[in-house]
Amino acid sequence: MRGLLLAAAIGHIATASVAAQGRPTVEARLDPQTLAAVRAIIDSARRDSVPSQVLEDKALEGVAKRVPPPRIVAAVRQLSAELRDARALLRAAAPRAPLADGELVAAADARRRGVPTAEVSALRSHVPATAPLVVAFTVLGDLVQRGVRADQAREVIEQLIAAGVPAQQIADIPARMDVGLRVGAPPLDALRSALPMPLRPVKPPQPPPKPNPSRHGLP
Amino acid sequence: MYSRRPIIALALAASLAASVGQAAAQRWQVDLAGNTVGYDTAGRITSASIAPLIEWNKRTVYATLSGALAAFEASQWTSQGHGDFSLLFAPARSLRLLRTEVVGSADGSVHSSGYRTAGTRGELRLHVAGRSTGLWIGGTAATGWTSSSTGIATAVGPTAGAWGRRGAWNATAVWTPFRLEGAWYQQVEGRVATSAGPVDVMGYVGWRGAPTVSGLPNTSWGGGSVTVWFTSQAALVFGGGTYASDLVQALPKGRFLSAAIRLSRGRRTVWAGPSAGRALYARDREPADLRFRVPGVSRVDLVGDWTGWQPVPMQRAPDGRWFLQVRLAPGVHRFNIVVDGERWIVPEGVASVDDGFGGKISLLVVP
Repeated sequence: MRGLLLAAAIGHIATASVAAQGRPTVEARLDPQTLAAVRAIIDSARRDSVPSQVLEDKALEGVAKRVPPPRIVAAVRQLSAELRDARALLRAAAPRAPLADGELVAAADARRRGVPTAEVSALRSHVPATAPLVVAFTVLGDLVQRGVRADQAREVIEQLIAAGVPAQQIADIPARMDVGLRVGAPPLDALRSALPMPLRPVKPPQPPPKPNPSRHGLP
Repeated sequence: MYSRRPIIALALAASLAASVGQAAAQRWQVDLAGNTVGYDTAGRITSASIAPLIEWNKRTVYATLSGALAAFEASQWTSQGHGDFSLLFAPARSLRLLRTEVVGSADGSVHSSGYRTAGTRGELRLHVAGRSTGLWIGGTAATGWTSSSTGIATAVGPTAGAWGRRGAWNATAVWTPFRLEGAWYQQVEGRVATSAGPVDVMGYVGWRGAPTVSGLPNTSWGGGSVTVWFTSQAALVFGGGTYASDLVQALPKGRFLSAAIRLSRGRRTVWAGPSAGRALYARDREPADLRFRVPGVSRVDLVGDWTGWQPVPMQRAPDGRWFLQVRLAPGVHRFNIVVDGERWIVPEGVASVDDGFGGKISLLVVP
């Protein structure tokens, strides 16, 4: 019991300590040369409406993990490129939809987790422009990593959003799906049994388009 | 403990551990041990041994390859090898609660006197599994050969088992009656494992009833091990007890005591959850109560973008989990937990993405 109380006290002290110090800044944590390189990437990203805080956080993460400065710069540059690509993708899919920083990050994460570009784009374009998609993109990544085909996962999420299912209920689906997966259910069956409402059957896989013989050998 | 493993497998395991290493195997370990083994027929033998093991553990496939090379007095030596493979799959889409497991293993040993043994075992299991308990039934067949025998011994029989898990405790009971050379033997075994702080404890017991016609007595065995981790990759392992004779491979019953230094890539967790983690989702405008199971560690810190990547100590709950309450802005947040002040990991069962630095980073979403 004394140990628990002591741990609690230490926890509060540490939390208070971090809060009192505030968030560290890249200026305080990076050496001048690395800071200049990171700043240039962040300034460029900001000009393209890519969220800069995420990039600063990546640099701070690298410092905390004691990563050599060149790798920190490379990781920030890579993340900036991914966020820029995600922004272009979502903008093209729904030019008039508001684009929150969180959605941009969630879309980029979905790509990193194996969701194809076409499915990220389709989800943005198929749901109302006002629908927030932070949870939807993240759940899409969860489902794909659980073995559900990306187009089927995306279609399920679209149907749930269209039916007005709250984001919190959509967020619960991967955990509920794990119950089915633990007892050996195929991923799509586990997904169906985890849904908060019955949905229409998802489309069967589409055959690949047949090549047009008349185009062979022609410019 | 180190009693059933061929020199080829030892070399293979060692080279795999060295060359494939972190890219393919999920975990490897090497035990450097001093042992004493007592046999009713051959007295007590003291040995020094090296025993590498590599392990792959995915959601549907589990495999290990291990070996041991032991040197005895008077320049005697023995080498042993062991391989395990397990494949889990659903038998039919309409039978969602059931899963089928195919298990295979192979053993072999070579002694400096020229004596050799080999054995194989196959098993088919039908599981009914829940979150913390499960049952299975199945059938098994095993074969054994020794360089001094004229043929191959074969044993077949049904099998049934149950397992349960509560907190850091994990228990298994198995019933494996088998028919060998026309006679039926009864065999039951139980195993319990747990972790507390830097200590892993495992205990086992077993009993085998021999038919009168075999001329063999009933036999029981039991023992255990205590593993004390003094860093995240090094531990002292103390083991002792008795083990049963292997009737199929004609290996004798023995008593053993061992002390080993274990070098390992990561500590084996008592319970591994689904391999595909899921992102954590906090409820809008409510503090997120982060709780993670990290068995066998003495300290866990949370680091995330909202802390500026500064560590914040997590607290240990009475159920053994580590927890911390955080209040976050909407969006996607990234974090790691730091175990014992040195290992940056993704909590078990939590979705992750590459962090860009060669590691992984967890996702926490606030709608």
